[in-house]
Amino acid sequence: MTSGVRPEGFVVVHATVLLACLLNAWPVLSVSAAVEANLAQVMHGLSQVRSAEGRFTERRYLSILSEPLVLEGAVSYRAPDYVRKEYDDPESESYVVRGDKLTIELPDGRRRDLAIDEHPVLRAFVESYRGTLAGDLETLRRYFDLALSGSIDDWRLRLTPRLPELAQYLSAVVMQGSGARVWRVETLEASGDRSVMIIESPGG
Amino acid sequence: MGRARLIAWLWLTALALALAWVLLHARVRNDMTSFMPRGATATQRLLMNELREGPVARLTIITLGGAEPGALAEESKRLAARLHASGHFVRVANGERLFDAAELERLFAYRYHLSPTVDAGRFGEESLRTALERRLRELASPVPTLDRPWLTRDPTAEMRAVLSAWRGEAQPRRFRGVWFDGEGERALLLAQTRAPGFDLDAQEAAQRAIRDAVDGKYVVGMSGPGVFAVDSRAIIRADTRRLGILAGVVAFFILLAGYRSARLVIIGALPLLSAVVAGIAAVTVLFGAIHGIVLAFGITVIGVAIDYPIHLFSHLNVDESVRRTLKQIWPTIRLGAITTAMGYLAMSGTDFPGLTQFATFAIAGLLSAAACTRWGLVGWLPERWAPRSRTTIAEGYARLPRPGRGWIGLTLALGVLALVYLMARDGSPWEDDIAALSPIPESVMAEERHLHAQLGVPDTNHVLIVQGTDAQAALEGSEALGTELDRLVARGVITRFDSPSRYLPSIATQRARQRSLPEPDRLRRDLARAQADMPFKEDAFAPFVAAIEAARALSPLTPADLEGTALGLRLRSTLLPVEDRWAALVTLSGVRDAAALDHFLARYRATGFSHLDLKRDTRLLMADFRRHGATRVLWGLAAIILVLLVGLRSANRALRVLLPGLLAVLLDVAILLLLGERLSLFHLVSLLLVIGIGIDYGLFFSREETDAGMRARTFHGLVVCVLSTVSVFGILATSRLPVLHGIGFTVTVGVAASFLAAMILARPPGVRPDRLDPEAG
Repeated sequence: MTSGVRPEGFVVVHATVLLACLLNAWPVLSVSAAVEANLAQVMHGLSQVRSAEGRFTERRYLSILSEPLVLEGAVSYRAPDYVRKEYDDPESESYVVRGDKLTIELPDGRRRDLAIDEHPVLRAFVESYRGTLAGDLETLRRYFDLALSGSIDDWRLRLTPRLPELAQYLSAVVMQGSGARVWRVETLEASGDRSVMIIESPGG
Repeated sequence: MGRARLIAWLWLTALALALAWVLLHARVRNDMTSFMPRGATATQRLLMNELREGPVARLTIITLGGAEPGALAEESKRLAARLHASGHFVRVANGERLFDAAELERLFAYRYHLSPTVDAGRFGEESLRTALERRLRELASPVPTLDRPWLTRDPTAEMRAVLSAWRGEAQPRRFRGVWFDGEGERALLLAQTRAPGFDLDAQEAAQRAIRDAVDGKYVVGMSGPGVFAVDSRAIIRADTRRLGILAGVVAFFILLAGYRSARLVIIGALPLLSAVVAGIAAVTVLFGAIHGIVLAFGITVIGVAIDYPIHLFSHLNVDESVRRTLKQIWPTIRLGAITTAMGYLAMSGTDFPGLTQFATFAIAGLLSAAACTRWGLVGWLPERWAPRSRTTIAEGYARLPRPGRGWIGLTLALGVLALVYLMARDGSPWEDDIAALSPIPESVMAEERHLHAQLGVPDTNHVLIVQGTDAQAALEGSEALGTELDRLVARGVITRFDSPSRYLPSIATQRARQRSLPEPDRLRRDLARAQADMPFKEDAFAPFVAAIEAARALSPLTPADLEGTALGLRLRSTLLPVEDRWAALVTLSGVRDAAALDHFLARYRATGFSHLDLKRDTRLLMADFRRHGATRVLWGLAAIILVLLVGLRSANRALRVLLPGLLAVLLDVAILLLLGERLSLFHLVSLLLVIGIGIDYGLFFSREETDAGMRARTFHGLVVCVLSTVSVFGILATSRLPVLHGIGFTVTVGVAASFLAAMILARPPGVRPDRLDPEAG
């Protein structure tokens, strides 16, 4: 995923990396405080991204399937609230989230609009992905318990649903990234099914 | 104790006993059946009642506003839970799941019986492949379907089809899982009370429970038949109490000014009280109970009974005994009371029990008021006493010029003018829309219709009734009709319809679906072929094969099985027993092409269903009611003329007595219509009252009184009568209640006109109001 990061964003991210190295060198610093600080920094870095796009390969491991479903396509993001996901398969629908609206574009060109607030599960589901891309810590915390691990160059953010309605379907979403780039999204469903989406930047 | 005093005591005792009996035994009813024509079939009546008081009449729409949507959504969920727990409601819906988990699981077992998409081809190789391809695509979608957990047991998504049929197409906007209005500003809830719609106390309690359950910082709104009924009652109570007290006080002071004796005023209330008690008692004895409308209207109309003691009081004088005075005016009072009673007697012959009750009330009341004046008062009245105010009034009267030909001509010309206007006027003068008689403002009703449309609450204006010998027969009938209605929906004639078979198919249909389910071996073979090139595991759908096998043995779901469940409640509102038969109610919504619908209905009515258009039918009922009333008023008029001719034995005097009342009615109607009022039955009966009062005035004005003193007394009585009647009904005319306003206005205008017309037209020729000395003679 290419990041259109503004110069001052870069400076901040670099400063954060330096700071993180320093902090990691400190042996007995309160772990939770350090993680909290890192989460804020990762989120801040993400929030500086104005737009991003990339190709993805998604593998769905479902218990009723003998082999994983492999889906390929492209995702794009524009700050603060636009996400589009489309599949290479011409018969597949495309999904666009803009503000509070989810638009499903059917293969025959028709569109179906849904308010993402129609159902709390839908809102939480959308925010897990969009909220992370936007670095919107406040929104993420409303729907998920967050746990960050790793370093700023290789972080893992685990989102565990807070809403029982959502927890019925979803156990956790694990985002992996480096700096201000998310490159792996793993979705763990309550049924035991899971899917892994790897996002590549066009150039890299 | 003199004889008069003894009779007076007897009357008082009888009145007290009757009052006690009435308080103990009289029951007030409020159902509409007594205002339906007797000719209506039992089924029609029951269904009308069911629709007025049944499930739809028990719906209350609740709106929650005054905060941001997130908070409203949370409060909506809390409110639904609290209302459920309150015990006042059988159903509270706010958009959250329709059924609890246990009920849903139970119904899930019946999906192959209930799903409209199950037929012979549904589980063949081709259909299964299509279904599995769809499911695979759904699995690939980033937005998961909520029925994913059912996938291996229900790969053809039958439960989804069942639920979507139950939900219907009209779905309000949702936010965080609960219903909102189109603007997204207010959360919407739908609550069905346990109590019937006409049980106003219970409805009021349920509404209080709703208000109490909502946190004070939210703005809660309610609408629905029960809410309107309770609001109407509150308005009616407030208005009748306020205006009743005001009218009573004003009447008291007019009488006090007329006689300057509080004792006389109190005595004067006795005939009125006797009239009300006799009216209630007569109706209770003859009909078992009195209708609320009859009671309210009857008391209003009977108010004129105060005229009888007024005439008596005004004629009291120092030169003769009370008994002698009474003897002189009694024939006039009697004739007046009998003619008015005859007018109401004609009303009693109608097909409407409500009108008959009203006539009974009025006749019993008028006659007992007259009788009370004749026998019950003498014992209490002061002997050799005269009202002091008489001199002033009589002197004023003496100065009035005797109306010459000019005045008479002018009066008659006015009457002719009114008649010409009425005959030349275009358009119906009648108000047949029952809603126009409701005290609920039209804006509130419009809001209610708006919310109804958003929530998809069935429109009771178009109800088709399919009858059967039992519940299954009715269900089958509604299924057959449903097939036809589906075509109307497809053609865009209506947007949707609701029928009991939508919630529960007939046993026959369920069995047919059951028979179309394949045997396990065949299903396994077709399923294996269908999923051959798909990534599904070989045995992924074993639970589905087992479910089909189980469904083949499962006996169909019946209405009895659903008793007490959320689905059962829905079914109960559309499938109900009517006497020894069952009726399925099919409601149509969003009629877009009325002509095409009428065409369809005309064609299918022959096949055994009836069509109820509540709005149209109540309109027809009102029109019928009013037409009957108008005919009866004419009959009443004929009876009045006959009584007058017999009673007066003079066509000339009968004409002079009758003319003022008739002219007053013409002028009254002309003025009402000129002011844009539309006439209802209440106006008609008020006009009958105007004629009655007009005749009373005519009778008194037309008395051959050579004695100037006598004339002064008569005039005094008439002035007190007209002042009290005009002010009391004038006060009623200020009411917010259309009915009360209509009565008040009609009577005020009519009585004022009657008085003036009687003064000009009724006086006997050749009698000159010479210089008067009221106390002489």
